[in-house]
Amino acid sequence: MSSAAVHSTHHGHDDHHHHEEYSYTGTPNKKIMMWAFLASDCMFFGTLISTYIIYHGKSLAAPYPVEVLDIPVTTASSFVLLMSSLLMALTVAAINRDDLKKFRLWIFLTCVFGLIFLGFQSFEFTEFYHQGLRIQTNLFGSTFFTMTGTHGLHVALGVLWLASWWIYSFFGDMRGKAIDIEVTGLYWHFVDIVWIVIFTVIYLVEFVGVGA
Amino acid sequence: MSAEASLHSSKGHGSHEHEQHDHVPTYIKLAVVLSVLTGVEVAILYVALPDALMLTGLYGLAAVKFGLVVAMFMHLKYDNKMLTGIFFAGFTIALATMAAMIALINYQPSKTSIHVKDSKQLAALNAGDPTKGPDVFMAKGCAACHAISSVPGAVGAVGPKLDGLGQRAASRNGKPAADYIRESIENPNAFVVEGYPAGLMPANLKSTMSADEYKNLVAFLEKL
Repeated sequence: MSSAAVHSTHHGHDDHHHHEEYSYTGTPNKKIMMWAFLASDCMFFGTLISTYIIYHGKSLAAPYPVEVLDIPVTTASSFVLLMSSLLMALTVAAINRDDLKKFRLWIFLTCVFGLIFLGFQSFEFTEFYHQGLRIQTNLFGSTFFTMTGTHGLHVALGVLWLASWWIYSFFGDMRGKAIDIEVTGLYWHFVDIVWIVIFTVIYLVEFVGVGA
Repeated sequence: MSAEASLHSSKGHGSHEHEQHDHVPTYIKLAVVLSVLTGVEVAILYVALPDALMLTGLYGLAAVKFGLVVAMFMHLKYDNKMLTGIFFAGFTIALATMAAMIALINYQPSKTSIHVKDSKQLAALNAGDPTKGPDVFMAKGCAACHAISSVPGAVGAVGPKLDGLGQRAASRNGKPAADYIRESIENPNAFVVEGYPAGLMPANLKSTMSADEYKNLVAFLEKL
């Protein structure tokens, strides 16, 4: 691996074949690293979500989830994040085709969709705040804001990561960077699947037997 | 823009790479499927179905969406199976830990543990029984000083008559009626009705009653 690492720092010479670090398995090390990180992040979010579930219904002060959660608004924000995954997949497909123009377009739009999602979240948090739900109000507030806040932080970091690739593509050399984009994409999709779980467990299931 | 000439490098690096295929149409179809599934999830909430069926549907659809994104967008389906192993090892541990935590928490049989769904349930839980209020009112000697028309024997005239107290209380100090009533019992001098002397009503009345008696008394007075 170390001999490959030496080559990987060379850019722009005649050999367009950038040498990545491949493990014995034939899979890039960066990709393995990202999947291992995502596996650990599953446990991180698993803890936050189960904490929410455990303390669900144990709040001794209002407001309660059914009183503040907004299904139409959250459906819209979930849809935006879901579609950002499509844009991310298109970004990776574009860089794999060496199509730099499309790459810039799709990665830029992925960022925009991520920002729209964060906008929805800010709106939601502000609404909850005005309805009297703070992180210290009750167990619902504590577990809800910790979990969705951590997710929002993941989205924000993802947006920064994607935005820096977008900017880099104008000044830097994108040769051999397809694998890096793919790894960034894995992180982005992961943030989306975590939200698929949160949307169901925290938002939709709350209204079973109550009606939206 | 020489960088556009050849951005890609991993060609020829093993058969697991898949850039030969054009995945874009698949991605778009997948996005449509995911949108429809999300629509169905939300629609489930608006249809009258048994709860168990709704829950099965919601969790099932979430699992399908999760699986589709992981398999297609994150292309685990086409990638080295080792990656699937790494990810689902972590995922399984996370899921098992969640199940264990949730099961263990619910296993503890605790009488102090309560489950409340909304403010109404909480209020009902904290509410006293107003029909038991008059007995407390008589037993604790309130009637010696306060009159209430609806309670036989409550004819005292040392303190203010309590008919209509609930309505008056609501307009005092801008607090809810029950808060004002509790304040007047626990700290009688906080507000003294005009024309009556301060310092006459004992401040220890609450300590002579059980928590339930006190709740019932306040619930009764609030309704006057």
